[in-house]
Amino acid sequence: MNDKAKPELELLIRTPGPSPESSGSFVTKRYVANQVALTVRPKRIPDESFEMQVQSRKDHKVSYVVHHLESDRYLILNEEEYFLWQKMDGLYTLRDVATAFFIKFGSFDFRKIHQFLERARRDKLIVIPETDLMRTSLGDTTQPSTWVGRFVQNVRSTDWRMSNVDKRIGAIYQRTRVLFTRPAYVAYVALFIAGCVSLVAHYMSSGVDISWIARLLLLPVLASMLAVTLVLHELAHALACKHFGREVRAFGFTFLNRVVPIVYADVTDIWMSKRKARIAVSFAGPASGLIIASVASLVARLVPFPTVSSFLWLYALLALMLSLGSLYPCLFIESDGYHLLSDTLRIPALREHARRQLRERFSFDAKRRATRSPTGDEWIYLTYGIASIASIGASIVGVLLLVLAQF
Amino acid sequence: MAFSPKPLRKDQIKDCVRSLQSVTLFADWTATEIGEFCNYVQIMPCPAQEVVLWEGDAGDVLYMIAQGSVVVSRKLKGDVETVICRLHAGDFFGELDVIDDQSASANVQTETDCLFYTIGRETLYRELERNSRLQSKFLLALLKEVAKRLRTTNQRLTDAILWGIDATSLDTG
Repeated sequence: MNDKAKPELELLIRTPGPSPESSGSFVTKRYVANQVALTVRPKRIPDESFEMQVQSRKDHKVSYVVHHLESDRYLILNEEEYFLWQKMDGLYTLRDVATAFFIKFGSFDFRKIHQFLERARRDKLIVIPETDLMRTSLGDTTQPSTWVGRFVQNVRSTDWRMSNVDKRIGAIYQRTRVLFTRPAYVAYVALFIAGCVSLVAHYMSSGVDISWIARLLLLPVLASMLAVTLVLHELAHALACKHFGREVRAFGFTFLNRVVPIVYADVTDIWMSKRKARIAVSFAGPASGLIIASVASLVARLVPFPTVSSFLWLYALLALMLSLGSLYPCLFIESDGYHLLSDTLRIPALREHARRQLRERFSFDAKRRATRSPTGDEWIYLTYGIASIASIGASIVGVLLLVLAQF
Repeated sequence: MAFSPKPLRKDQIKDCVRSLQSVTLFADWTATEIGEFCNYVQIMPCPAQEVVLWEGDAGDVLYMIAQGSVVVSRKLKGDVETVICRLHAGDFFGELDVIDDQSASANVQTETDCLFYTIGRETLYRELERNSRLQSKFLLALLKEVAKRLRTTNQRLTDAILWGIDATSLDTG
């Protein structure tokens, strides 16, 4: 059944107007049921609530018998179901579980997962915590009393989305298919190398050379160009998603956590593709920034006007830094770099596992602290967790030093 | 609501007749009958993102959509509402409130710039009572539309339950 035939729920989210007489504004959002289902995190009952017995079978395969101590119910699992049982620890979403299942067994039959889930829930061996997909939509919102507060609330609840997004992105992809050919990839590498060499050579020989008046005047232009770069970054993700024949679910502008303005492209459908495709889509965004930075630095070298040239050097440097920043994986955020790392290591939910390992290994409560040696996977989680904490700390220190250096 | 209906000017009546001919309520009316009816109809343009009717408002006006589209919704919780349906040019709303003299049962807001033709309950009843033939044609058309919407509601109820089953991963089929 395709998405069009699946039951949908459409909600209207209203933003009240500045006065009781005003209608305000509204947006409508559609939720396809399976999208909700894929975000739930099934959780098996605590380890002390069940016992497990491994049984070998005549056909040399192995069965696992799970005994719920309280209800005295039994669940017999085959190897695939045991794998699902292990994965359903409350950290993985159903989408993560499906991906891990595909990586392990090479098959993607969501029906198996559903059937297993139904059995396990019936025997009360697995629970599904409330999905928070619509929690923010359904949360009670109180109306600020001042016009400033209402204005801020209106701005923060902004969510502009392109309509018919998949069709439109598909049309753009058809016109720009040449960007996804082998000669284009070769050109990107050549541009990047040339651009980097040019940028490094420039900054080693001279610094940024723009008078403060020019900087003030050029600041809005710089901000606009960086904003366009961010839009192109997201567009690159979306076009790459279309290149692999998957659906782009949304493309728009909103405030992340109602604070940080972002442009976004929902390419989660790429999870239904192979690992190579997922890695390519994750890399497409930062790659576009690296190429734009390279082109800007080459143009800066050729332009005969010093102010324009200096401005372009600065823009190239900032665009390069933004792209490299999005490629950096160890900051406990789901950046492009994080997704690349997670896919390369074949570990979905790497962040959540890292957090759990850090809690277990460094808990203040001695009773809860894990004392056994970490397994191979657990070393990876710990390394990621410690690297992320160190990176966040270094970033804070770096910013503080930068600020202090101005004084 | 800041937008109020206004009486039709003479030059607007032709357009009104043309628009009402595509409204299902008047499908069996002749152009002359609709033309006479238009003398009692009012016009109301409305920009996008405006609420035409709030749930609970006194409902005594029938709205016929000449241009644009509206979203009909009911409040769930806080600022979140469930979308019941969308109506477009040729559709109408407010008929339940006109029939049973109750307050509006849903919010209606314009999704695009709209043009409505409206008629008040008292005026509608008065004009229909003067012509029993028109009254039966109107009521039959209204009944058919209400039946159609009831079927749509039944289907939506089934869809909502299916959605809940799928969303909580209970479905194995």
